[in-house]
Amino acid sequence: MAQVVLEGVTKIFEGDVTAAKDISFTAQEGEFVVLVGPSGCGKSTILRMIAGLETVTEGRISIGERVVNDVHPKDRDIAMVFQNYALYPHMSVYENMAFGLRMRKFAKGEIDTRVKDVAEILELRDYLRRKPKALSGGQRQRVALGRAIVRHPQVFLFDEPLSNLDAKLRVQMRAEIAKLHQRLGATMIYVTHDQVEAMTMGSRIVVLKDGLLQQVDTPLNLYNHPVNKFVAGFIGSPAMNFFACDVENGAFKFANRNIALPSELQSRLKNKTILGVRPEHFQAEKEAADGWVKIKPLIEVVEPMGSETYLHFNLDGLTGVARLNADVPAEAGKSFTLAFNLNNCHFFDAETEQAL
Amino acid sequence: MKKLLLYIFLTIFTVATLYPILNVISISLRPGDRLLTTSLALIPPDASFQSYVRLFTENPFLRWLWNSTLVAVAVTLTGVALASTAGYAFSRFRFRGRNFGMAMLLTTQMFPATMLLLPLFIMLAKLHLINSYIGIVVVYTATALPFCVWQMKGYYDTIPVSLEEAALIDGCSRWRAFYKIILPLAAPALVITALFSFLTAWSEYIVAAQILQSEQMFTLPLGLKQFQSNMTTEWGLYAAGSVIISIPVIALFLFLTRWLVSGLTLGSVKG
Ligand SMILES: Nc1ncnc2c1ncn2[C@@H]1O[C@H](COP(=O)(O)OP(=O)(O)O)[C@@H](O)[C@H]1O
Ligand SMILES: [Mg+2]
Repeated sequence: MAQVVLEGVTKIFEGDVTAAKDISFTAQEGEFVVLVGPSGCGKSTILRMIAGLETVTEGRISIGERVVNDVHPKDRDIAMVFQNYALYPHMSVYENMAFGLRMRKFAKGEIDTRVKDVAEILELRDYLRRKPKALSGGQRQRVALGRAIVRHPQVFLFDEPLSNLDAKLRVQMRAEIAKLHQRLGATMIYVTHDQVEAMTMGSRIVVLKDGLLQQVDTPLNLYNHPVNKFVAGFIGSPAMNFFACDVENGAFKFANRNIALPSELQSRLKNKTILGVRPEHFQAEKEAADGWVKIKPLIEVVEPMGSETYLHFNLDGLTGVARLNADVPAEAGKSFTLAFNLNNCHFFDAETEQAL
Repeated sequence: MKKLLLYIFLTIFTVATLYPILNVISISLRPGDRLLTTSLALIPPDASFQSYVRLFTENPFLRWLWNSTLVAVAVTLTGVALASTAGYAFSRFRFRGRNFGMAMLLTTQMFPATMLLLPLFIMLAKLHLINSYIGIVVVYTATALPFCVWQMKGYYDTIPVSLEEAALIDGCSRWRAFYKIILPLAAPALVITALFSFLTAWSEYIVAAQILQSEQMFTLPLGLKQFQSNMTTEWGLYAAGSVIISIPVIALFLFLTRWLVSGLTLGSVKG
């Protein structure tokens, strides 16, 4: 096992496309780090630089104690699971998994033991002689995992490995990978665009946008203390509601109302502030405590999810989503009183979008 | 009605394709030099293998067969080796002159070989490659390569790059990833390249006539032409020779088409 350290890593492709800019973070030994961000934000590029499949334009990548910028992929002692699996189509499942060991000149017996052990763990025993084309999507995914596991590499890299699976299988494989991580205790770096995957799997999460690192933190810290509006909106589902407000004389104007601010907030806020409220922080009136802000918007759509209900509301042109108990007596087309606690809210500078 | 028309159409073309072949076989079985005959029998009543026997006993046909094989195999091997690697480079690497190179390969195809005959002859003469197999192998390979390189490149383009990347991470060098993973998957394209190179060399006449001057070095097409001398043509020998020439081609086709299956990369990617 080894830690992976990125220091000021920048990647500029031909044609002046900056895919990653000044990225620094550390994946500790045995840690499960998730890189998350919208499509095109540079996640794959960063992972591929760690793997050695792309050159590093600037900065330094180390695995263990060794700087690997100029080390060939085969000598980095890493394994990678590709989004499209990239199984060798002309080889059986067994050969696919054995290939990496063969290339490294392992003894036949050792290869056989390892492949069969891993096949056992991944429930692939009955498919060892099949070619990839005779497997289902989920099985191919497991072969791709198996090919990585048999090698006992120092670091595992995953590039959106679950995005080609259907929803149910995805949840199942998510758990499998988490279990594998516990079992192997290896350093894993996992790329996804799905914040739910990131939140449920990562011990730490690296949030990226447009090639820039936004925040590196634990899932709960990202949720509770996002450093900017982007992270706040990206983490959590449904996404956080944002309302632009003016702050004047110790009160902020929100939907044609002046709401007095607690003194400790007054000093922090700017004149132009964006108020962020998570859907789950809205409550029905009767649940509200003293001092909560109350609004009475028009409910446009009611979405019962079974365990809870989403209310899509419109407050004098400001739209948002609230997430309430399943038994909430709201009806579409009528107004309904919602309350929220200012202490649960997030505030962002309207200009820089940084958290205040 | 539509079907009927289709059948008529297909029948006409089948007959048009088969007739010359059957005719040549028929001629080769006739004793003497009866090119024209009023008989419609495919196998003449007095059929004999006389022409075939004379081919091998009274003529250096075996020698020519050997020469042709030598040249065609050499061209095939060089063609496959060069096209498979050049096509790979064009498909996978972004280097200076890549687009220009691809365009130049196409451009060479615009000029008919006959037009290049004279300069080719002068060039080979200066290189002392006249009347040499090296000369003819170089020319044939050069003729076949542009198509083969394009064809290989096109096929490599359909093989996901992530397969090589997986191989690199699995411990292969670039070269090893190429021949362990990519080359086996490119088998259908290699077959086309091999067939095309072989055929280019096997049945070529004009260039061979320029370069090969001693009868001992003749390839089959040159040899056959020998039977068509100033005054008379030995049609029996000519026909028998043609039939024999086509046998290796047919055999090669049948042998190689086994690899000409599509969908080799199926199942490697996506779900
Ligand atoms: N080989 C390449 N050449 C040029 N630009 C590239 C290349 N690969 C990726 N990019 C660009 O870099 C950016 C980041 O890409 P990528 O890392 O694949 O994003 P993600 O995986 O987060 O969706 C994108 O704008 C993409 O177009
Ligand atoms: Mg990606």
